[in-house]
Amino acid sequence: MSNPFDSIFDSQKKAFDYWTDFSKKTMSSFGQNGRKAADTPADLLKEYYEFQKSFFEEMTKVGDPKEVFEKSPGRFKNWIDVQTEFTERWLKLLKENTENQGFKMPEWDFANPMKNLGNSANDLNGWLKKSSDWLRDNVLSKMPPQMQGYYKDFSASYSDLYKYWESFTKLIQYGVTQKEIVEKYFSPDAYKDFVNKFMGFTNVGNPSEVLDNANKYFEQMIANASKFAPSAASVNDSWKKMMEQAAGNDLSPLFKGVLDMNTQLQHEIAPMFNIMGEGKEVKIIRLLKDIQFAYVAYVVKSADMQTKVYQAGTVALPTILKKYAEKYAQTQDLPDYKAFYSAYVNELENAIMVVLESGEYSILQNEVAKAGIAVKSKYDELIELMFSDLPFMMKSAADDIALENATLRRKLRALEERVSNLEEGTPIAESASNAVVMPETTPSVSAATEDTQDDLKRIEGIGPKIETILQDNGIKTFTELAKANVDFVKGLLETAGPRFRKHDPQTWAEQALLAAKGEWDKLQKWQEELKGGKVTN
Amino acid sequence: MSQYNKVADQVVEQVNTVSDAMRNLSEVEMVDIATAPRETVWEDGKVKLYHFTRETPATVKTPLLISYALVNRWEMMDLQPNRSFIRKLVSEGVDVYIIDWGYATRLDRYKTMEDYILGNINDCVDFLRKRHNVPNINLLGVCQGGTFSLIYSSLYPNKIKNLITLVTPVDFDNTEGLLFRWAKDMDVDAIVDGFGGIVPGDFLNTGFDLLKPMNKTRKYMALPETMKNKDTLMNFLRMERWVADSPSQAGEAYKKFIKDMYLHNKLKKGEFELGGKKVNLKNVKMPKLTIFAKDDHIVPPATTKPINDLIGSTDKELLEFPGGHIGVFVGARSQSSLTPKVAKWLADRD
Repeated sequence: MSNPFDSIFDSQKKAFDYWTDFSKKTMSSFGQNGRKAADTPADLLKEYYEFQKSFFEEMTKVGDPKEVFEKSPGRFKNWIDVQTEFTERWLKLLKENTENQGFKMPEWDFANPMKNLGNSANDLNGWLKKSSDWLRDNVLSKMPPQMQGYYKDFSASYSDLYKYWESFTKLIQYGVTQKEIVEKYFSPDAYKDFVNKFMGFTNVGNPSEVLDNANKYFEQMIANASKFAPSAASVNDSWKKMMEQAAGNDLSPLFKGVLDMNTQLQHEIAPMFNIMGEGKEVKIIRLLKDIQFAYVAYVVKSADMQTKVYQAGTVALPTILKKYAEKYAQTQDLPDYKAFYSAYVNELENAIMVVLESGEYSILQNEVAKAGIAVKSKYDELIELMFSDLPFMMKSAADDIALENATLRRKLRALEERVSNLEEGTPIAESASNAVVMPETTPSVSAATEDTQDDLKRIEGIGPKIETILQDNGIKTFTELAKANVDFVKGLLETAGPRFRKHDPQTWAEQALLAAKGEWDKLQKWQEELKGGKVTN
Repeated sequence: MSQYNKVADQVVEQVNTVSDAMRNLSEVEMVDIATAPRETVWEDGKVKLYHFTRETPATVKTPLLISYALVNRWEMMDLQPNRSFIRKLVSEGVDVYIIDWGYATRLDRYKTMEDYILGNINDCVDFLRKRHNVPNINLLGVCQGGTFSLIYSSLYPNKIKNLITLVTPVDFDNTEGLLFRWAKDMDVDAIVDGFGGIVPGDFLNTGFDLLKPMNKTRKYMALPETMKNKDTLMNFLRMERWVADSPSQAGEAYKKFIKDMYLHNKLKKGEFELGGKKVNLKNVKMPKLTIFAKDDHIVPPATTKPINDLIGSTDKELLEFPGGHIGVFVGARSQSSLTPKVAKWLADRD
């Protein structure tokens, strides 16, 4: 059943599809070069299509192509020859076109492909780079956006390093590993760039230059501060433009309504701008000054911190070169690219760790963070100020809501605990909130929950009946009573019956606190001032 | 000649790598994590409680609540299907619940440690006690979530039957871990307030990256190798996704944690207070399993080991895991020995 031509036809078909697709892509990228019409890829493909078409049409007249090929090897050879010729012409054309684009193709000898690779190292590097780039782009698209930045930087500097690889192998072969000489091949700037990308540093560059520029920039900003407190007209314009851009061409009725409303709003608040402009300018200038100072501190301290890291790492490369040079002297073996850089990166990390572990670095790092965050927070303030008249809710306004939320959460928790204590009848001492803050000397929670009992009747206002009610509800000690919430105790008395309702437990917790601390004299004195547990005025 | 062959080998290797990677990458449709089937059984604002659904009844009757750290996301415990801490626990017969803390925003800037521990954790514990009709449940805390669990179990010892902590710091007076050293020089008020009361996840990640500054470089250098295999490629992408997904920290809780723990080591000293109440670790009397990772550079063993000396439990065990902070959850040995051990420990005390 199986015909040897089946697989040939299949692969021919696949190759042809792939070829066509690839040629079309190549044409579209090289086609605009203004080449003479005679030999463009398009013409070649057209010619080939036509040949294939007529060839197959002619063959199908004779019979099934597979059978024809089987019966007539001459025809088959003819077909293969034509394809080979086409391939060669196509490759030649591709080569010319790519060379026009500045990319040199290797002279492929299909009989011995490896032979030619060694003669065209530049092409090889180009190809390696191209394939790496392909991988990079494709893996990037699957990575989270935050990580894409890191990986992009990393892969760029990693392929940059390949440039130095030839020099490094020479240094290893000749055993030249002194720091000063190594730096001639791998310049301090290139090294810094490398560390920055690997460490995720933002390069500060030459701090004095950066600071000069920054100061000039800020002076200019401050001088132009009036522009930052924008005129009503300009705000109206840019606001409208912004909204229109956001809307795009597809203005939904709802969006159009919002847009109209905002235009109206802008019109309404325009006079406000004219009134408030002055005060705003002054505030803006002050904020800009703050940002400038924070920024200067950030640059100076970052430069200091980065310098410490750079300096620590400079020993790594000579150390690793030396290690491999010694090995080479004995065995004549060169490391491969990956092994070498892997060793270098480890050595670099060890050197840098020494700095990261120092107390000096720790302090500096905190200062850099503080200065950087100060720039950010002042900048946020500036933005809020500039837009404070627009109908947005500002971040700082949300802080009020946050604070209110926090208070509500605390209150809610206290209430929930009281409810669950009432439901479960568990000792009120479990309740953390609304508790009287106990002095250091009072027993801890665990002590309070132990099976001890105090004579609660010693509290003015508590008789044997009320003592039993309290005990039944888990309040057995002075500490527990001191911690119990007044409303909770009131609730107990209410549910116990009408005759207990008249008792006011207002002072019981405070009395119990004195009792728990053993301050009996104080308690007695106070009790004399009380009548039936009620505060006398 | 040998150099020449090396070049040829390199080309062949690169061709293979590219074609394998091409194939593997083209097959990646989405990077899925946290795939263990689950349902949301309780929620309060951003905080959710998940139950991992099961096909067979649990053999450990007492439900297990997992409290993950506020730093990073709980998905680490179910990162890849064949190396999932949670899936493994479920298959070992444990009925597993986990708290998802959600993503704090500026509106959470005043959320406190009280809100997290006395509020969220206590609510979840009470919910589970009711749902399963049991007086107390099992609690497992991870990293910072373990510190929270210890504090909670000291305050509500009656509600917790068995307590497990994983890579959990308790002795913050440490100079071996860089995070512990750097925190001592940190002006936490200035940093939190400067960020508008909410510390961005990226800021924390920068700190974690600096603990081993070339780690990322090494990871990316190995990427061509990683991409050759579909599984390792997927796991790389899953880990990237997890690392990048770092929630911001609620300012008030962050301040208290840094000051009371990292700066003043109050929990260990018995001076830590929550909601106006002093936390005494001696109140932890229930059975306790303490797990630390031998090569943990985020929470060094020395910060974890003292836990068992500080608590009041008599049934307590200290377990060393051979690996790092993350290996505890995704390492091969986590699957083969650690998780079964945890399940057995719970079953023995059910």
